[in-house]
Amino acid sequence: MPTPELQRAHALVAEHLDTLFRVAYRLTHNVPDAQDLVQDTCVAAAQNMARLAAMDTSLHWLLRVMHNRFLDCARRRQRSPFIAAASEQHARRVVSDAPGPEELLQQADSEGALQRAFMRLDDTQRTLLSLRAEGYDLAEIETITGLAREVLRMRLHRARRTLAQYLDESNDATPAAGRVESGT
Amino acid sequence: MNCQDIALLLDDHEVDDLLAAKQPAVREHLSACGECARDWQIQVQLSNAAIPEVPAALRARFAIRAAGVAQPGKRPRGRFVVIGTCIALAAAASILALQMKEPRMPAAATVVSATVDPVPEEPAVQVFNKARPAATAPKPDEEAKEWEAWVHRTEDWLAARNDPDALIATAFLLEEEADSPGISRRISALLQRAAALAPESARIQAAALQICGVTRPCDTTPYEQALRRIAPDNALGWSGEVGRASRVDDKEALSRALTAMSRATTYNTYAGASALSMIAQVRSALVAPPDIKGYFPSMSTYMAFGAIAATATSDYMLLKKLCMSAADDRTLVECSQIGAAMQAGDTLMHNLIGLAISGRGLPADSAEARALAQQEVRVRWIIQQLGQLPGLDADEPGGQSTEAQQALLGATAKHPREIDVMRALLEEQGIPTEPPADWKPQKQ
Repeated sequence: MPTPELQRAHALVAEHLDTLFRVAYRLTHNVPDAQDLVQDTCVAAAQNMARLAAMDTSLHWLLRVMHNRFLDCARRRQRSPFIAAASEQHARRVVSDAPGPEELLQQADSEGALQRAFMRLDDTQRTLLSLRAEGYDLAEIETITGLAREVLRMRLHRARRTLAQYLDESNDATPAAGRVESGT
Repeated sequence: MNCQDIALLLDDHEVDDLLAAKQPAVREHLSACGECARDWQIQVQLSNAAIPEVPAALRARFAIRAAGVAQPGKRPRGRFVVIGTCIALAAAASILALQMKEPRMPAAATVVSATVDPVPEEPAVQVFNKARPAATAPKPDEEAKEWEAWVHRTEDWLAARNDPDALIATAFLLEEEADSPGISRRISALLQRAAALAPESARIQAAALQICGVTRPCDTTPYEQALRRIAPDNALGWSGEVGRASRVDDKEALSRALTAMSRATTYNTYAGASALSMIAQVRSALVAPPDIKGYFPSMSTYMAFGAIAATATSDYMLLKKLCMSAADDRTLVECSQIGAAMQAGDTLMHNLIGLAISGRGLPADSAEARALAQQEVRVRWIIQQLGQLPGLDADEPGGQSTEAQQALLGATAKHPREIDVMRALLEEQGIPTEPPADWKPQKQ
């Protein structure tokens, strides 16, 4: 059976499962990874139940745990040459300069393009835009991430601009790639 | 309207508001400013991006672990206050599941001394193991139906008795479906009968109060009044008043309720005793609860006991918020007293929240603040040590050990407070219950 802390963490996560999964999916754009992130959040939450008392709402607290787990995993990926290689491969696949036929079709879809551009953002930018897209306001994001309000404003602004730039690059690349494909 | 105004709108409004805000001034700026228009479009696109449904396996995992707490679209409940001796509840559930492999006649159960068969060795639950063959994956819908059918059969059996414990046990079992109006009416009726049969039992009144508190509609007032009369030193009897006053922002009523609550000396949910009573009642069911394929055998019963453990007053969080944001001296003093009562309460979660509330407003270097911090370290030491005891975690290879479960039940019967149960278990294993002087809780 789980420890009391793990059981409490399970109950907490269950309470907010839909929201946590939505945010996790926004961060990872991948269902298995989003599941793992929710599970990791639960385990990390179990180790930190005492901190619940310091947060205004349990959901903010869990999102904070998830945010930290997400950043930790990203750091670990960077430290591990094996995982980093796999991750790099994944990144190359999703933001490929030379897309395959399926990817070309996907690129025509603006949501697919948005997703690929989104995955090129750094982890913090993804977190901030994900939380904002889920409807959290600056005060809530401040609580969750621990970043100061003005820093948040600046980073959100920068994240949107970077995303726009990646989208533009993607839009520029698609017709060219399409021409190559159609010309062969 | 300028770029800064647009940025403010983007940062602090939801998409619907963004669309609604596309008033002429905004539209005018967006049509003139390509960058802002792009930012606006991206925000709306991100907010509207398609997100897959929560996978069934993930939902099943947490539904089972957390005793069926979250279903899509259901109202949030105060489930995260897992009251009392959760670990013992889970152990009890396992024992019951083992004992109930065969239908049995009702028996006057002495749960703690019950003899159990050895726990069969089952593989650890690994829903997230992506390599797990699909054929062995649980089927949440079928299992949920099977479980529901068992609950209703057991309801018929238990509710027919004129026994407050049987009626409370039935209400606990049904609580998982409390969102259904028909079920909530049945729960309310069961609680009324139980409370009327045991007007002098603080445990029954507290259980009725807590189940009623997470059932809509259900009037908790009679149980609160009864509890305050029987156990005037128990802050639980005032939690409903605090919640109601706070929700309608009735400052006078809130002040009165906080003052009354601050006179209490403890915050008891009677969870351990309720758990043991529930175990005895469910043991008397004619038909054993169904096991859930893919999980260790006790999981189905564990769900029922998780429901007891997770049912608690939903107002504790509100109380914490009120006290943590209190600014005036009087409320701070009252909150400090309420915090002390919670520290003396029977569940670990209330103890921890009590510590946090009591520390509010204290200078960090004061002797009181240091004492509270030290107490929290002690609690976290116990939690951490217990988590490392072998045989307690179903996810460990080999699953739970029968001995550990028996020890937990025994400790639950002897100690009303969860922290004392945990301490007793550590002592039994020869593990120190006090941390070394230089020990620091693990930080994330």
